[in-house]
Amino acid sequence: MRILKSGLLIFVILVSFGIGSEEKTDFDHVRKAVVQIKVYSQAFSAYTPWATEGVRASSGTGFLIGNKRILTNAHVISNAKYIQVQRYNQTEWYRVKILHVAHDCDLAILEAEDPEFYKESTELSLGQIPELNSPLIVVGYPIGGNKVSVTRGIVSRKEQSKYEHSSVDSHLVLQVDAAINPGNSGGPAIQDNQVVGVAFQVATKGENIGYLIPTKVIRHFLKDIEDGKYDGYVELGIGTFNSFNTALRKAKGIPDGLEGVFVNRILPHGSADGYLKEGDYLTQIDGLTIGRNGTTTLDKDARVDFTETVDDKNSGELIRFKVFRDGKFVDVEFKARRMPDFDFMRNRYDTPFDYAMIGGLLFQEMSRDLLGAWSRGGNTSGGSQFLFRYDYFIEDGMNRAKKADVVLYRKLAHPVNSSADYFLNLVLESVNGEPVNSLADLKKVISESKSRFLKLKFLDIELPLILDREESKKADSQIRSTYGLE
Amino acid sequence: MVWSRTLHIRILSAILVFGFGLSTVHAKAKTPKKAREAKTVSSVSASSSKTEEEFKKSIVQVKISYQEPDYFNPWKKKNPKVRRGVGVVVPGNKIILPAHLVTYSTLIEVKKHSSYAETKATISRIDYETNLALLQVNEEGFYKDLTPLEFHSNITYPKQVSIYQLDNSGSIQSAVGALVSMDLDQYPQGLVELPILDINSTETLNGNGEVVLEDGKATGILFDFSGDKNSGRAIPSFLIQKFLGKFGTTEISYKGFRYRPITDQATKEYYGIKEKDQGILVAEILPNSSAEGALKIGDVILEFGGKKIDSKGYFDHPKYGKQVLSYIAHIGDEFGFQTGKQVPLKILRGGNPMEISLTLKPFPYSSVRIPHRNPSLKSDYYFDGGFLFVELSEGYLLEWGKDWRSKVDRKLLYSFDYDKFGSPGKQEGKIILLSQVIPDESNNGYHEVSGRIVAKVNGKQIQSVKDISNEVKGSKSRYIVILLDDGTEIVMDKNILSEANARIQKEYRIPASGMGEH
Repeated sequence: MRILKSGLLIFVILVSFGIGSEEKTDFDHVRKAVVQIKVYSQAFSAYTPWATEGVRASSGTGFLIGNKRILTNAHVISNAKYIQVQRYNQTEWYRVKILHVAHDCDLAILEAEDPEFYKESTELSLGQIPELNSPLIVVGYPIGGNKVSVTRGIVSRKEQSKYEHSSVDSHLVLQVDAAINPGNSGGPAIQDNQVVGVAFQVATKGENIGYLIPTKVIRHFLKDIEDGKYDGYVELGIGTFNSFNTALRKAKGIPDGLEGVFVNRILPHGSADGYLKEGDYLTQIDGLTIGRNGTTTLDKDARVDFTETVDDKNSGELIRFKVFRDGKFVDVEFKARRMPDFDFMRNRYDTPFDYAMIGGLLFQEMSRDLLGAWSRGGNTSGGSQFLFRYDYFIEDGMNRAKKADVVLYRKLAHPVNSSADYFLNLVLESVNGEPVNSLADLKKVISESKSRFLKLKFLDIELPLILDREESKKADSQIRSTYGLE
Repeated sequence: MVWSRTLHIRILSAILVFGFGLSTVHAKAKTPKKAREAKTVSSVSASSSKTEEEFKKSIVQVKISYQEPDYFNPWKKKNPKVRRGVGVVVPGNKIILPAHLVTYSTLIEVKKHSSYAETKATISRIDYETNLALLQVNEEGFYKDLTPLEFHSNITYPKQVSIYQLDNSGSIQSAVGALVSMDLDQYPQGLVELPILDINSTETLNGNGEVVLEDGKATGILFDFSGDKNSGRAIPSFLIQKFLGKFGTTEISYKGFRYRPITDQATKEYYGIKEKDQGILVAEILPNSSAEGALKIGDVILEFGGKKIDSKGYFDHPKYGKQVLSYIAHIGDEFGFQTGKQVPLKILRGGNPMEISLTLKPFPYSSVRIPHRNPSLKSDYYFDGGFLFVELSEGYLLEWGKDWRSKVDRKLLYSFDYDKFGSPGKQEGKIILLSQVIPDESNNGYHEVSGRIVAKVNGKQIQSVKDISNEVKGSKSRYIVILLDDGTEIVMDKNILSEANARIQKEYRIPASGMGEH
């Protein structure tokens, strides 16, 4: 799915429920805490990793949460080279630095260098998860003006949903029916004088549907960075299947009336790897009963997937399951841990792409960004292998045996690589018989090889690509200058 | 983060957009406008020894009613449709036309110049490789005012040609075109590359059997035409003559291997090729084919059937110029090669020159794991307890529509590209899918499962849908456990299957013949 970077903001108009006079005071408190953010950024390109992209200007919103900290969305400040902020009634723009970025939950913390910026500011405190059908306001600096803007909305749904910034991660979101416009990102949603969410994305289909990051997720982030660094979300790492079917329950000997879900997949390197087993019947997590559809109760408004309980945990905290296994109940507990294996599936920001070149052939570890570059290039040959490996690398446990798929993704034409087109967009398996399980492996094999030929064997293709090692090396320096690498 | 299978389910999920920003960047690939080739064809006077009026005695109009299979609901067919084509009368009181026109036909009717009546015809022979079919008409006296058309034995190009068809009123219509070139390619439903003529014409043609004429004889039969490009493709006369038995066997043989060109110096040196611009690499060998046992992967073919093979796989054909080596194996009758005959080869194996030979065999259809193109390779299904198991086929994937490659699950796409054929020495059957679950109270919980590959049934590997039905019928245990590739276990309770089937059959109006295995 292609991500279109367009903005979103939410205004909430403060007219409601006949408490007009109080609202005015509240709003003054709120607007003194809300910050406009101006960003100049420069993205990295997976396709052309040695070159720089153009500089892009954009803007967003943030708010003060105390201790000089400005909370905003990660996507507001991703790839930023230079960031400035300004508050209501200020004329000066103040430079800020990024303290923490969490791309997996789209949050970031900034701090202004000049104390002047904080003069006469207020700070907002975090509230709870609002009730369904309750009103709130969203404050921000949408495009179309430099003035603070307010939108009113209603909490219409609570669910787990995908966070488009990373495009992989799913966490709890609040759906609100409020007009959200570009520039509002990072702005606070306020109810009863407290922050109940951060505006961050909208649905492109459907009118006036915006999404907020709830305080549950914000608190998780703030707790994670207490030790001075962001670790990221932990991953249970299992696939489950519902237990509605009577034949399935009987065949597995599940007592009538016992709620729970079956484990049908254990992902390598996940928290549950080595603790839970395929075929286990999960009945409780941390004392909460898991329903036949895999949900637990969040509050009176909503049941959410039981994995939401795991989502709340930080690395190292215990996850406790009651499991019905081989006809008996057993308690299984293990530490929650992060699963860096998923990183290649996330959109990448702030870091350049590492690559290797041999004879004008460019190799990279497979990643979401590379996939994007690949599909924009309109390539066809070998495409299905690449797409399949990307989708199933973790699910089918290919990550058990290797760190990453290294892909020949591009060729800078030169006579030494005239036969190479056939191998474009295929996964490299080995070089001269040495398995290639990461980009580092490839670099090592190339630099250490002494043989005359390099035999590059690709997955599913019997005949290798042959390169003359010395000739390729010579060609590389020509190619570097011809094509302007480095 | 939360991991779930739904990552791969891309239908119905709302598209979320995040962002802010002054500048909005849309990276959108523009579809290039199809370059419209404007070809000028000077008005033709293809000198003909016969008048147009005479040709109409050799051409008939054919109306085909057909019903395509429905791969998602394999117990039924899609809505009937009609297509029209042109048939050519050939000796022996038969009518020849492109095979793809009569695919999935339910009724074939022919109409000749002298009559408005439609007469029923039946298929007497069909060959998807050459895309040719013969029709027969049993009505007495049908052929009395028809004359068979003759076919050229030689083709020369470039050349102006006339293209004839019969319109609805029974009068002949002619168009002009140019015979441009001849190359090897697969026919729409074939698996073997065979010669195809390229024809240009600025006139409105359909590519549904129009006959290409020169000097009163047919050069080919048009089977494909694109008005956008003003170009079409025709089956050459000598291939038609082979189909009609002029060269003895009508069977098409297949070389049995795939090759790669050798264009760079390092590869040449690695494989020990000394001759300039000669030799191709054997890259893939199909099991049970002409090449299995004779060639090895990595062999360099220098000569094939006595002809020098250049580094891109071409040889010099005495009449048709550069043609790919497949020509010799697939339609090499003129060089004395056909099914059962030996083709001598000069190769390099491990850098050593060798002379070997391979015995020509037809395409190894038994090695096809994912049936595609050729409609005679039909796939089976098994439907029990609401669980529909199908064999993966191209037809099934095409049910996702024109854009199917970007819509189907990427594991199926990958299988389609890489597991189409078995590999030599391996026992590999069909790829079996749980296509969908028709909801019933008995299969509660499974209603959302669809399009997953079946890994095992009761712990056993399976090679066909028949294996599943045998296991269900033969197993002593009450519960049949079907493991899908994503780890999901489907449990079928034998004791309630017949009850469930009765309900499903009634509720969803599925014919009794549709239940069970097919």
